[in-house]
Amino acid sequence: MSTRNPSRRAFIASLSAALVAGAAFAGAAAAAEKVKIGFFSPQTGFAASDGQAALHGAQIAVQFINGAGGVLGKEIELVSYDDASKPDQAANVAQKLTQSDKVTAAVSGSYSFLTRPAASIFQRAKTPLVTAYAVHPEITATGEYIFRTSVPAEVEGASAAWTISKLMKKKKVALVTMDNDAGVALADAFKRMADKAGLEIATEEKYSLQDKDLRPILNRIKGMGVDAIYANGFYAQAALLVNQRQELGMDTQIVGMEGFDSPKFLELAKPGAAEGTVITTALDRGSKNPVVQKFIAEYKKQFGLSADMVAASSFDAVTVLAEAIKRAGSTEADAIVKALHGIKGFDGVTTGPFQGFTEGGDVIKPVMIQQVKGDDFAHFAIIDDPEIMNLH
Amino acid sequence: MDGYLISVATFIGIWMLMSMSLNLLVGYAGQVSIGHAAFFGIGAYTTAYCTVKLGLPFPVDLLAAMVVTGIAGGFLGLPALRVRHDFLVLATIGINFIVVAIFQYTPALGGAFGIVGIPPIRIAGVEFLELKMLLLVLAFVALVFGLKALLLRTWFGVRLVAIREDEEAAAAIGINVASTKIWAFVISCGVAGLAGSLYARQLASVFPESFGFVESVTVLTMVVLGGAGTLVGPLVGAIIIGGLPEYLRPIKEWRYVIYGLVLVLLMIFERDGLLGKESRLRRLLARLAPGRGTAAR
Amino acid sequence: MSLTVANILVTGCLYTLIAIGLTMVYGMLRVLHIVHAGVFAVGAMVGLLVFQALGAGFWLSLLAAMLASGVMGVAIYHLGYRWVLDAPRGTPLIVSIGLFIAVQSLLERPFLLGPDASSFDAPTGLSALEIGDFAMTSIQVTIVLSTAVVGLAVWYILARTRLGLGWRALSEDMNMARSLGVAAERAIAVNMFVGSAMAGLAGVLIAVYENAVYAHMGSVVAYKAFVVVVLGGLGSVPGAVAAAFVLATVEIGISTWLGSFFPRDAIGFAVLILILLFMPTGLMGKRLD
Repeated sequence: MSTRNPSRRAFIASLSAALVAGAAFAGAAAAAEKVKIGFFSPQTGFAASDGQAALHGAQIAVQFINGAGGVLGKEIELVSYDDASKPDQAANVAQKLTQSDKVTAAVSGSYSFLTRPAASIFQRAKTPLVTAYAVHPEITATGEYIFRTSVPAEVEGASAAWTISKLMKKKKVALVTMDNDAGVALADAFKRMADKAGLEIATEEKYSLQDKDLRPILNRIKGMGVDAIYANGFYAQAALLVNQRQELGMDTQIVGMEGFDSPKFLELAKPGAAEGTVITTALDRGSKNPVVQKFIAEYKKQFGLSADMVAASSFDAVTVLAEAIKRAGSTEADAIVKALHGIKGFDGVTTGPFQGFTEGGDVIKPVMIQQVKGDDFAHFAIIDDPEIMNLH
Repeated sequence: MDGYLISVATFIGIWMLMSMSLNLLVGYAGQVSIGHAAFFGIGAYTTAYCTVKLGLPFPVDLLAAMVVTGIAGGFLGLPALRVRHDFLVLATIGINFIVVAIFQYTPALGGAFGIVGIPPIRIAGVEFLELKMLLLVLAFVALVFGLKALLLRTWFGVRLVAIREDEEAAAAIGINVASTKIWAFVISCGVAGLAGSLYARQLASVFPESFGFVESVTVLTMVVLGGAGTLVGPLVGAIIIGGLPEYLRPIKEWRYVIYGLVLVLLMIFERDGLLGKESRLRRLLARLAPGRGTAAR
Repeated sequence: MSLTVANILVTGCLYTLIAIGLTMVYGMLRVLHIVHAGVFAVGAMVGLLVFQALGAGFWLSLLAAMLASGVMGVAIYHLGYRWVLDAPRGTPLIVSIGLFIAVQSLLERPFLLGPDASSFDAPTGLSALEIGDFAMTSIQVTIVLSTAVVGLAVWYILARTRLGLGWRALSEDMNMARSLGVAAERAIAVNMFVGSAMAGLAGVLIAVYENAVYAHMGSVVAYKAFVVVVLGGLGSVPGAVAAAFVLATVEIGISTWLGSFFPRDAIGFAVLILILLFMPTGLMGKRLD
């Protein structure tokens, strides 16, 4: 068959078209007196769901803050970049934010393997970085400029074990663990608390995120006589779990984690499959705190979806950072760090109240336990026992 | 100089080491491999382990990384002798998954948590960060480029090309196909290990998910795009694949749609790669510097 | 045990559906058709769109998906592969990869699938099955039946029709076949259409099975399909079927009896590599280089 060799003109034409499409959107940043806060998250790629939720949460926070007068008499400008779930891009973006955009501080809306490389750069550049939801234990250990406004895995995993044994009075549990750092960290913390609380662990089954078939795992658990399953995963895995559990005719209580906290979990679950699932999370939809309700309402209005944990966490990271800048009275990095440490009992967030930050930069706050009722999550309990909250 | 550009350039330099090494295997030895990121990862993890867990200094970790990956590459070469082409593709795809799984499930290697806190390279008390790291990486790129050019002019290089063109004929004239192939794997993977070591230093952390199948596909794309079996091709491929996503940032969420289309267009219009034979770029260069084009490719 | 058997049966069928289309394209064009996984995802999306927007039932949506996928496949050939068929091996691969990246990224856009997953809860109308201990849900029955029908149809085309004869000839030796009068362009187009339609079929079935349609649903298919195709011997449809079930058995068997000590995919590949070491030409022993 003929493979016509495209002419030189066609080559130049189509290649130029593609590249011009790229360059055409490059515009000079508007210069104005604003306080720049950097932001990065996986806005394209397989993690775009979380990345965009995080971005939206941050955007709403900026909106609220600017609506209330901004910080230091100026508006906040969110300088946001996409890291496409690639660590080298996270590093490039961190450089861009600190060197080119010269942001006052930044928020990470990304997972651990993206946040950690960026954190090194922020620390070196002496620019404060607040991590919204990445769980790796050593992110805040990068240095004194790195903070985290989500509870460490140690606290969240322990809360789940505590909830299952003390609140739900169960005795024997099976673990279904996602094999990435978030899953393993939570499972390890769970096991430690289960030990203390006298909860028997019948088995631990690991699965990888490419696995869509959890039936063999559920099948094995079926015959073990457990009265609860502690599972971790993202909303897709949560849905697979409850759907396949229903398919296998099991009704074992499932306790999940913040990855389950998403309206998508409820949408993808078959009718009735998710009912009763309990999760440890940061967002309490039944909260009387006006900030929570205002955030949920505004998020729904602008983005058409119910807010999830990622969006709420990102909102809080930006909000607490802005609060610190206000209290510091300046955009000077060390003053902001000092102000962050000085924040105690702050209730202007959706996942609070923030009791304060540890020396290492991790937040101390309660864990919300929610339960699926009908087509939404509802309040189940709050874990604010200081012994648990201070586990690090 | 702008920290952002330095960062982008440093990664491009590391990709250049990757594409040059894969090119040796794919472009010269004619062995298909979509598993190169696994060796990249082994090199990165070796450096991470040596520096963080064992406290070893540069260049011990770098040499360790190259030796370990070289040996691992040799092992990959062994089954490669038995299977051909498309089966080799499959086996190399599998290597990605197996190696990543080992990283992820081995507690001594950090398991799912990876290894963090990798210190920057230190030579004579000087920390190699930012610009210094870029220059160091570029120095390695130049070194590897030069060595590769030399290697290809030796008898080894001739054997490689002979095997690529017609394996049976090569064997018929007395070339030890097996030994040559294994050495190609060893050298190629060893350099991937070098790249991985530098990558670990640059990011200061290693995580299992960074070295999978998708990354291997990316490296292969660099080689083919630039021109497999040419000396300079891989460098051009690395620049484009490494630089294009950053260049396209202004179009935000459309980045990868355009990126994918650019790949398609470039490959359709330059089927042998941008610096492949008869390519427009090569002909242009030939006209600008006559006589260069006659060197063995 | 019966649960495991049912699972293996269903999974084997799903792998078969994806692999048949791929082996048909690969066998004829010798292209590492990675974007087959993109066609798969687009099929699922079209199925969902037709189901939701037009209120059509499962079977109509399925048909629409197969049509859309088929057309997409032919378009891919005409806009992409046709220009590079006699280029070095790597070139069409990169074309396919570029297309796959572009397609997946495009599906992420809010006017298509967006970054989130969408539910695809479509009843198929086929009843569930229960024979003693052995049970299959409605969608599982649908998957098995669809695969059987499709498998038979493809076998029939290949073995008993002139079109199939032409395909086999073109797969064997394209230039010779053309010189012997096989209408190459048309046969290739039909081949692409049918192979891609099956990707669309698989896409909708899996989407309904998992109750999720999302931009990156082709990611796993992108490499899994190749595992099956290569294991079964390139271009061999019966080989693909056999390999699909071997892979499903190995994966689920290991998961069920050995537990989750290591990721399923990694184990699958390890077993695969071992098989290839002892049978370097694949399960069917046919080598099309």
